[in-house]
Amino acid sequence: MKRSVEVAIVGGGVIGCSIAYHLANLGCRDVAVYERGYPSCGSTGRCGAGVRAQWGTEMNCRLAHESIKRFERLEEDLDYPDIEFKQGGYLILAFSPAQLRQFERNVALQNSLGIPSRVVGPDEARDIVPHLAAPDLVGATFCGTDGHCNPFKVTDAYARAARRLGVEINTYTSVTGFEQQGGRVVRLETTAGPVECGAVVNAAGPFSAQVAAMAGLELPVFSQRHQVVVTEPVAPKQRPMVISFAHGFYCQQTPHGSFILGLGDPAEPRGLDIGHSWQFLADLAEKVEHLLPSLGRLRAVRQWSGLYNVTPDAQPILGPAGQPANLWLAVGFSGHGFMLAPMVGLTIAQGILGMEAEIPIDRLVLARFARGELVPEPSVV
Amino acid sequence: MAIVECFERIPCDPCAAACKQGAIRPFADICDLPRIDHELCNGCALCVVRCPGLAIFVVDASAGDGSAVVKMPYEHTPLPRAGQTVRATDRSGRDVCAGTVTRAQRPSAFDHTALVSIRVPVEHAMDVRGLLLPPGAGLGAGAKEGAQEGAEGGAGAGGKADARAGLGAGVGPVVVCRCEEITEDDIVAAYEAGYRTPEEIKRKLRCGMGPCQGRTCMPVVLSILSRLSGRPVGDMAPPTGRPPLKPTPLASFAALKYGPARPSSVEEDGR
Repeated sequence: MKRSVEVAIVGGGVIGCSIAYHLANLGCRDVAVYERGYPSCGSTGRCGAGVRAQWGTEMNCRLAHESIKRFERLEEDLDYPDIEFKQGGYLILAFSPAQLRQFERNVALQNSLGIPSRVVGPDEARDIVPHLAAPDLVGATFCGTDGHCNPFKVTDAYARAARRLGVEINTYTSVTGFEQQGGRVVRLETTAGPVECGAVVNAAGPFSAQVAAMAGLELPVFSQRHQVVVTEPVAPKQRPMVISFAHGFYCQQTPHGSFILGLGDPAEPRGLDIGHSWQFLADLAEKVEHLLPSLGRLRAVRQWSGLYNVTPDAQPILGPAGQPANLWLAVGFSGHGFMLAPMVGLTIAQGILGMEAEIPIDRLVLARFARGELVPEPSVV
Repeated sequence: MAIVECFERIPCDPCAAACKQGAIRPFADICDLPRIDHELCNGCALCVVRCPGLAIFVVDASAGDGSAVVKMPYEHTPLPRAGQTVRATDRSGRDVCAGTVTRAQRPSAFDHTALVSIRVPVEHAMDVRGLLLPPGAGLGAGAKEGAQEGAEGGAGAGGKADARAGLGAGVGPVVVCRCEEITEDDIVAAYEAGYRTPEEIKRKLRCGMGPCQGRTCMPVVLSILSRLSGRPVGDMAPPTGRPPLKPTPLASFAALKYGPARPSSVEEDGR
């Protein structure tokens, strides 16, 4: 393991590996990633694997839209056999006139940024997903370029491409402390010994607050368990992701055939618990019966959970921390980090290297919370 | 007489139907464990070849010369030859003693399961439950079994001889994960490409993600990784087990909330 690196990245999830790849691809190859397990073993590998550009804030829309364009060519860019990208669209359900009005505003914003989404009525929604029940449906929005991607494979693709460019990816290696001098992090303590560093990136996902605290920085984030269940694989039945913010529910069939279903529980306590509960399956079964009853016959084979790292406005914290001066943040993705990873990796790498960012991310810096400049994202599960 | 080593209460009863002596009593419930009336058992071994779990053996200690014959199912090629000396192994494949093959049968009535009888010292009769052919043996007269040239030894011989010689030496691709049809070669290739832990192999190849959730394949995956890495199986962390443990219709979970009285869409759909 190197004892001195230009950029040290804490966290080998999809965000850390994407930043590492983009740094190396832009010419900065003296980069190391420190991952306490293997790449994607944390929140990345536990996520619902959805990819969408239908967001309600400009920054989420732009980062996601550009990321989807990159997912489309990622296999070629990273020389990886198959990331299981499927663009079957996202059908987002509205259950009240007020929600539909919000969706109309979202679609206007999305269209202004080039995202090909549209508002559809209940009948067209059922044309798109014939087994959709939801008798109280008011309307929906649909965007055909949204879809699904395999989080393990995307992360693996970034990690392997980064390695080929000279990045050191240290698996089963935890960062345990920072040493600061003159307002900068000069050394990392790791379970494999100390490392001198020029800059540090906090890409620690659910542990972002703990990593920031090692640098004396407090982040306005919390982690929260979200549960997921997967069924046995069956023949293709449902092309789009079906998602309802009113029910906190999402459901998509993967290219492999299994259905992934998730549910957000508003009463879920904050913390780092990644256990599973039978109440989740009961609550989920109730939503399935209401929204997609014919899926009730599918047999669940496994439930699991992962952690969201949530910010007050449900938008990520990106960019320099300010203090320490050489600490960069790519945290607080609030449940949608995987789908933003390509553009987050690129823009953070460009920021670290002092280049102009492809998408200006200054509105997502940590300081926005102190200034009170929050634009809350309405479209989250 | 037949020795039944069946401990799983699973829906399985071919042994009761196979026994022509009435020594294995008919099952009241298909999940019953077989019970043998040893007064009626004549050691014919029909139940041995019918048992899909390879859980029945015949031990014959009637020779009275300090030896016993153990009859066991044998699902590998090549088939041992009568008179051949083999290594007798215990239930976990550990070497116990030398044995002499007295008979190796594969009549069509046995439905592709061969029955091999080996003579071992009588004190090992209740330990010996498997056999290993000596490396390089059995490819001469046994070649009609379709074994390929250059294959070495019987199944399991790979462990000591060469870490690359796997479970399938001489018999073609070995399917390890039946849910996802992942072969031993796939696992070896993934290991060599850098996916080293059971969890990474699972994520890369999907073995353990199917309806069996690794209950069938994961012990084999671990043993292959152990052979490749030299690490004992006990040092490797298998992937986390998670509910619902057996494939269960989503709609049936609604009963957890409302009680079983609520009509479920499973019934409505009539699967």
